[in-house]
Amino acid sequence: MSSPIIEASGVTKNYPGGVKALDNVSMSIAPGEWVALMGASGSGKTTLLNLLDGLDRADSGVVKIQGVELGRLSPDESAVFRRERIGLVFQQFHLVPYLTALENVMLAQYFHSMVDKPEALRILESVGMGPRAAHLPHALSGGEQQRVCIARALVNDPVVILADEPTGNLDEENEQCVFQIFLELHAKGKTLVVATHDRELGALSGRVITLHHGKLEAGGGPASRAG
Amino acid sequence: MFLRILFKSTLHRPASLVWSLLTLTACSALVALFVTAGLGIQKRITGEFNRLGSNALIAPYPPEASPLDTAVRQADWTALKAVAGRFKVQLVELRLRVGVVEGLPVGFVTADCGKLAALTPYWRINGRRPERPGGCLVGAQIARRLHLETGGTVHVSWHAAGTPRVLRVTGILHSGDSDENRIFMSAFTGHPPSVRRPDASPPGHYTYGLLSVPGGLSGIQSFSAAVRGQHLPFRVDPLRQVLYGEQTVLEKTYLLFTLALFAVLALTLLGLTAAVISRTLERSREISLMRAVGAERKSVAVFLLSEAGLKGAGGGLLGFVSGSWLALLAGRIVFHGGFPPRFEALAASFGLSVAVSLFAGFAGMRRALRENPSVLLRSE
Repeated sequence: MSSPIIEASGVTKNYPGGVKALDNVSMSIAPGEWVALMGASGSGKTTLLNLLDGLDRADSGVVKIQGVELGRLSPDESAVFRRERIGLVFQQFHLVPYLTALENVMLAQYFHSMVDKPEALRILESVGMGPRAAHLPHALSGGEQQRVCIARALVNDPVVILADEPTGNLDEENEQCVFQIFLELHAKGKTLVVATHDRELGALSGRVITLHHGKLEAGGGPASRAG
Repeated sequence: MFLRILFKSTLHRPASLVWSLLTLTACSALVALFVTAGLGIQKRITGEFNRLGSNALIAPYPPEASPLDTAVRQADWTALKAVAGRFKVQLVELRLRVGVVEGLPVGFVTADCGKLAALTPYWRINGRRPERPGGCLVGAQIARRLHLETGGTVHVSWHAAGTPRVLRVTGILHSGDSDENRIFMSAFTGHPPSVRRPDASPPGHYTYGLLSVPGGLSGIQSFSAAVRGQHLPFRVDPLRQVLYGEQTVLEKTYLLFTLALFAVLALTLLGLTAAVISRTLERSREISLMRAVGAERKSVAVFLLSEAGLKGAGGGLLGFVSGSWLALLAGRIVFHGGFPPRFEALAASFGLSVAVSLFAGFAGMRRALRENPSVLLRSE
């Protein structure tokens, strides 16, 4: 078995007010794996994703991606790590409202290294958004905005894609479109971690990790153990 | 890409942009108005004081020479007049000698009475100034001591060269200073032409001059430096009471402007900082997104500060134009002549507008960087 690309070991995260968002969670994900994080609202899916992308820090435990311990990185080192290796997809898309679809994709290139317009356009075309490249987010439907968000996540060729409820705001037709994109990414060998309530999306993934009140219930992988 | 993001982000919320620009424009317009009007007023006050008369004295140097023996070569006076012409300085040459009236020593000053009148408009005269040779203006203290009145005569004999003369009193002078102890005569009536030498002051005379130097104290210092630079044997001393008056008025004007300026800056800073922080909070998701896609804190800071600087620059330029126009208008209304735009006003209004905007932007930036992106970007 290849060494895991993502490892979490004994991860605990508390929020102010005594809310235990994650309680001693351990798991590992192999390269190229598609993992669905499932569980009820408040079970800790988003918190776990935020620890995996380095936007937040665990109170205890270790989170590693490609052997790099994220908890040891400064906020700026985390930003650099994220732009080099991680693509983020959000439920609410979070497109910059005054930039066109193409410019939103180029924004990730800009903060990564340098802007490559043809490459950004190619990525947009690969998610079926080529014809809408010059449109501002408010002129795009939810599904189109999500596809732009996915294109932005992919443009720097990340090794890991972390998606938080990517179909949460989409109708069925757009959901299918996103599923299709994820299937293609998985086929290309990308590692996908998708937090979702969507059972269909969960079924498409290779493994489901279930969280319940911050504890791992199932699917933690070879290194998993319930907290 | 940076500039594209910067311009699009700046223009994204027109209402917010217009409000910020209006605030900055108002602030920098007042700065431009104060600076332009302040400098204009300084120029006008200096001009007014110049019209009021002399503001400096020039005397032979070195001072240790016995005054009555100080011989000033005509060539030096000619060179001095050339320097004075360059600095647009009005100069009247005064020659002081001691005469005896009714057994008392009295200082007699001869001068071109037309020029002297131009530099001493503040003198109060009972009667009139002498217009022809043979007339004299008697200082009030001498007049009291010698019981002289307008229309009377003065019999004078000279210590040194010169024949005794009878002078007619054309007026009594009240100046409030040592000039009240002197008698003023039309030029060169105090001694016979045979005594004058073309290359020097007549014997027994102490030659000095009254000056009206444009530019107040700094103008006097520049003129004095130029005189020293020409190695001329003169020393320039400001007449303190005139300069003090000028300085006091200017200082009070500047103090008033400075206080008003601080009030304007403080209000602008408060208003703008509140607006920027509120706008930053509105945009906290956008900023969090930038950090999520890999922007380092310094990149976000540069972006936010550049945006603030851009607004500051726009407000500064608009403010300079508006403030200069206001200064022109105010000058026309108050002084019947506008204050022209000044480079100093451009520098001050532009610089302060950018500085105020950057300060407010800095406060917003600190607030934005304190936010936790993971909280702002979460889906629940």
